[in-house]
Amino acid sequence: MSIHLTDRFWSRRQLLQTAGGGFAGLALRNLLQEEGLLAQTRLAATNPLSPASAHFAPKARSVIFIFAYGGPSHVDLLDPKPALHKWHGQAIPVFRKEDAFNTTTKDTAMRSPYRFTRHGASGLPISELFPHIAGCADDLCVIRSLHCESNNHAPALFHMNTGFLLPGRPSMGAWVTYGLGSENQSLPGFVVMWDHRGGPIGGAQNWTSGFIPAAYQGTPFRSQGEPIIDLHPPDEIKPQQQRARLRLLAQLNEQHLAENPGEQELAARIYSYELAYRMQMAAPEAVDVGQETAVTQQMYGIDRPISTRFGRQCLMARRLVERGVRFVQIYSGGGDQMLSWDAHGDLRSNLEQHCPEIDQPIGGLIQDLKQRGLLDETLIIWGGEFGRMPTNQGTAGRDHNPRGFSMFLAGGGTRGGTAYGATDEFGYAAVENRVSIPDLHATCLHLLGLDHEQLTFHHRGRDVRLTDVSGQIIDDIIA
Amino acid sequence: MSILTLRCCWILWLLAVVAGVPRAAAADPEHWAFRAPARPPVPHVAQTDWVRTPVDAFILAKLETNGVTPAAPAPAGKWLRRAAFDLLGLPPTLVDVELFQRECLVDDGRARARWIDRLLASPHYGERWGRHWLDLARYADSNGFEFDFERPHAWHYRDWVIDSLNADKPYDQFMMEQIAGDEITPGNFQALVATGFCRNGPTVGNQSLEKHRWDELDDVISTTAEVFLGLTLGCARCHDHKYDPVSQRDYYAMLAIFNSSGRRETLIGTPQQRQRRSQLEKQIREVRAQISKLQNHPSAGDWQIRGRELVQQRLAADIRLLVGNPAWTDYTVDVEVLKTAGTEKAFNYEAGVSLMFRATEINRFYWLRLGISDNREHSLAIDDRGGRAPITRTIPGRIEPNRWYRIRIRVQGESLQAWLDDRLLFQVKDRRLQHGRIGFGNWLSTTRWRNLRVRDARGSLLLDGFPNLAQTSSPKFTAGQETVDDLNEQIRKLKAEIEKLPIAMAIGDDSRQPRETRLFERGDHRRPGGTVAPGVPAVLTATPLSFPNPPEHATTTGRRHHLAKWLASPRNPLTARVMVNRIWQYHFGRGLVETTSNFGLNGSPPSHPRLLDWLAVEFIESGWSIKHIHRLIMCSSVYGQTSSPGHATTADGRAPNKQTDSTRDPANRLLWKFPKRRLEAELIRDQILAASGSLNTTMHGPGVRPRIHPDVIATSTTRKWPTVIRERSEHWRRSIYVFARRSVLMPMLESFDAPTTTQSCDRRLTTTVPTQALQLLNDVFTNQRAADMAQELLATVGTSAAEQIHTIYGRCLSRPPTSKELIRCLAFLDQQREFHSKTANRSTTAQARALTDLCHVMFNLNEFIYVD
Repeated sequence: MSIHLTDRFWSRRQLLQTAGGGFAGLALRNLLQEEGLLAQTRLAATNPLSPASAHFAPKARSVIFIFAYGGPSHVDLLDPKPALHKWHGQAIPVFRKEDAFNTTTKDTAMRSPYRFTRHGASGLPISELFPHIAGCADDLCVIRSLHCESNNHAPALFHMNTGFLLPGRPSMGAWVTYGLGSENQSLPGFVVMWDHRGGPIGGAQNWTSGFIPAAYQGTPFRSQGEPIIDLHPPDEIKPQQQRARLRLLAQLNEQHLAENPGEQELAARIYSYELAYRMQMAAPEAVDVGQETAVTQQMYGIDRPISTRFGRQCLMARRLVERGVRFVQIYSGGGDQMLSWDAHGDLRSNLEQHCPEIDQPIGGLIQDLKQRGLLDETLIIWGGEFGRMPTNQGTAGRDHNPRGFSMFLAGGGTRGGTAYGATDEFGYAAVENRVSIPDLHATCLHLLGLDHEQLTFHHRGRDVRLTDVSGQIIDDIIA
Repeated sequence: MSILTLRCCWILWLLAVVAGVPRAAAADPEHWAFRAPARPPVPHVAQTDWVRTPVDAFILAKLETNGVTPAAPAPAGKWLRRAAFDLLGLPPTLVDVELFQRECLVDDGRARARWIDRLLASPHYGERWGRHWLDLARYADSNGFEFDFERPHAWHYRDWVIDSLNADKPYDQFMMEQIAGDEITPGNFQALVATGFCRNGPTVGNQSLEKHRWDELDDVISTTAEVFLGLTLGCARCHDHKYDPVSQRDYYAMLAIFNSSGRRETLIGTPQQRQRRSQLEKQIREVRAQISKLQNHPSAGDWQIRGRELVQQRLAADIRLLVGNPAWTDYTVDVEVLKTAGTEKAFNYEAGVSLMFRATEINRFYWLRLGISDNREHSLAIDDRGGRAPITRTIPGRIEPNRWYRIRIRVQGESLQAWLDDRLLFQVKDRRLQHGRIGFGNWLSTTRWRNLRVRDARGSLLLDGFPNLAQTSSPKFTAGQETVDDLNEQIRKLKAEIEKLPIAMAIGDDSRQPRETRLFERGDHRRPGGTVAPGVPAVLTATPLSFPNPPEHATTTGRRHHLAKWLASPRNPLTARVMVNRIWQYHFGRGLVETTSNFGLNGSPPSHPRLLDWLAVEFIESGWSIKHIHRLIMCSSVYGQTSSPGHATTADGRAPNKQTDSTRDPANRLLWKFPKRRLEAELIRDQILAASGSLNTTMHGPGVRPRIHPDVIATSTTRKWPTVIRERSEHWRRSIYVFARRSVLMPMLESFDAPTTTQSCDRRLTTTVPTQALQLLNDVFTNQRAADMAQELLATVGTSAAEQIHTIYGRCLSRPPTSKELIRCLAFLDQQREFHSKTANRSTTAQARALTDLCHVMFNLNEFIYVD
């Protein structure tokens, strides 16, 4: 039951809706209209990103996936473990050498240096490192029983993003965009923003479309300057010059189309140039956080040096989903390893660097979406590729832990103020209501109105899914 | 999971019943593709004059049965452009087209045959068809995964593919060498290189787990079965195949064939070459040792005292100078610094200016690091013998060049404070270092320092001004020391030397003794079951294939060789069919069997089963000649049809009315016209290079790395691609030679649907999205190629606008402009020249810019990237 790309036709109404959408800079369109070049044939052009209907009534319309790359420590952030205080410095019985990534990792418990306090009506305990996120406790649905299958960054990243440990499969963002299209044709349907220090291991393989069409791959958005690479011509090309080029291009292409009537691909390509031209206006407008009030900017922590970058990205994400972008992924941490959440050496300096960077921006994002009535239809996902060991590596660090970790969801039809599942008393392994990555994926798709068993693409002799052959929807976290 | 799997099967069964597929078929060994092909008779057709090769008879018979008339022949020019892109991936020149048109007037059949031969003889043929094969072979120049280590010898395989195809190496041999080249002709370099086919899959480079080995072997046998047999064997790793009569045991029998093989990096060359390799490797080890020494002894720089200033002018990584007394404990440092130069090279976290304090050793200190992270941050950090970590979070900030900044550091017990221009930047507590001297650091920056004063806790001066450098006891001050950067550059050069040696990225067996292979329950290696003997899928052989014990003197198990021989046997029902079908797909955009890597029950049935079998038998009997199949296909009338029948006129002047055909067979499955196709990603780039006159036709060798926007390089963890400011001829090779780095694919290729290189890709998808348009419109590449093309036209064609337009059309579209187009383009050039003359100071500049505009438009035309 895969979705047929050819079914996506542009009706005249749809086209005019999109095209007449009120952006000031529809110069190309005007230009073409002036010259009588708006051929009727184009209106039947196929567009892989046109909106498609969900399998059933969705709760969420769009996703903001905040990826804390490197593996944030669940026992210091979302999953309090008093037992670690008791066992501090002593070997814990559940430790297995083969679970750890590094040979220097010890079997002795290391207590969290941070206090957990209960928040909101739900009394959800959250670490003192996340004061603003804690302020949204009643909107958070913390899953404490995640587990994955690799203790190595690259396979674990691919697993979280694509459902497979090997690279080359379509990412969740690609699957969702493939399933639902996008509601704004002047912007990419799937946008990725990465940390100013660099991207995650594996780079674009984390937001690839794999073997499904390239139309669904994530488009990187920069957080400063022009959002999309190649959005505008090089400086030496003047606007008037570009318009003249486009005018001749349109004329020659229309003539070619007239000689090849009924060739939808040609019409689609002409149309893609119109969209591109519109994107030149729409993309910078969409990410212009300067249009927001000072109060809004402060909500996201943009006025504070520590959180200004991530705050901008979160605010950009809100503006993008508001404009109909389907899937936004933001990476926190990147570049060199010690600049990610990968706290092998010094847990405290790592967390005290990263947490204040993202805490207020995420808290602000949740609040802002809520006050705009957008939280219900926007699914926020926060988490990394695995968790960290409750034991110590060296004197002050924690190693990778694939056997138990936490993530949180907010909005998008999830049940706020919930802690779902549990790890053992040390936070070492998920033991209660265990959630696999396919389970998480199946649940996210479900919230978007997609049946993870029906969202397939025929590849290598099979109808391949994001969730491969597993995936159980976690009903208990759905509102 | 088991319940779900069962549920899937149940649903599939239900669907099969509902769809009216007899359930027994799901295990039917009589499936057409599992029986060896026999040559069917060439069918009789009514319109015999349409039949140029037997291929036509099969196609036409079906068209006639369905009452569909084939389209008129394509005009000669369009035919040649189509043929040239099909075989070479490059456009024909206008001169070629005109010559061909003249020859066609005499005898178009002979003219086509002659030109097909001419194209097949071009070395570009191997580059074009090699690309198809590399898609299938999931070729890449790096491992994927963390670090994405490079594969410095992978390119030999790419060149082997190109050369084999150019030589029309018989396909059976071509195939056999890729599976068992080491066993077939031991000691032969090219045959070893061929086994790179089994090495191309992604591999985890930073962790060695048993699971990875099974995953890698899975990649090898799945790819082998898909590519050569059109069988999705990988589905049977965990359970019996859901659609095909392939059991889990069949999968492990195939695994038993490859299980004894491992990776080899084999140098086969002259004794001198072998000696050279050890020499180079020794040199690399030496340089590496120097580097590790240097990392404990960072660069010296060229510190000098000029007047009252301390000056450092060398632009290198990690330059340090320590002064003062190691016994100092609590003190306040005041100093001013001016950055004279610094790299703002994107994505350099380290580059910046720093002041060290409490330096107990040359590699153990606190440091205030200013303007790091691409001059966007300040940080207070500790370096403990190479272990670097910020003590507190970094804060945003820049260091502008040529401006004096005041720095103050105060250390008192465990309290550390740092000011910049009287602004308190950092205030933290840390007790790791208790005493030590101070130091100055440059990392890819040059500086001037002045007004140094160090006072102790009571305010007494410890240092006033800079000490005499000759007398400094600073351990790293040994002028002329080479920097790590220089040494890394040396290593790069040495490695490049090794790359040139004939080293094969190959596979080999450990001995003649095979490893034991067990069936893994649910594909989980932690749950081994019974042992499995080597074998091929039972459904494909009447009697099980035997794998006799290798002779006593053998050094390998010989199992892959047996598999290869079986694959290449004329009795193998799949091998020839699968390959001729691939050739068909690459000519027509779609195979006779649409699922080219899946000939199983779940694959699509052939549109022309008899033609497929006829071609398969013909292929085998021609001695597995791929070029022979090209000729049969390309000389045909079906290949020669127009792609736009609505506008063609037939030879006898009949009014063409394709309305009925497009209604009867809108998907063109019967091939009543030639399908128009978008060029693949690589060909779009290659054609821009060719049209602009920039194409560097050098063949072979290590991959090249053209310009990628720095922000794209930054989306991965570490720099995996060099920063190219301006491309040169060395970058303008055909795209097949672009280094295939799994974590940084070239955006232009990626967005036009180039494969991800992680799995075999049997068919390119074609999608059209605005970001592609943005790339072709705005990227430096297209704009720069257009500008260079304009310059070249001015130099070679002269100043006649009509001549220029004529040449541009010839180069970009392989045809002259129509008069309407000529008028339009002339007007455009006039208008643009007029526009540019307002800003250009010379008329030739305005003219060049106007021409640039026109060339740029051509690169974006639909006609430019769609082939008729």
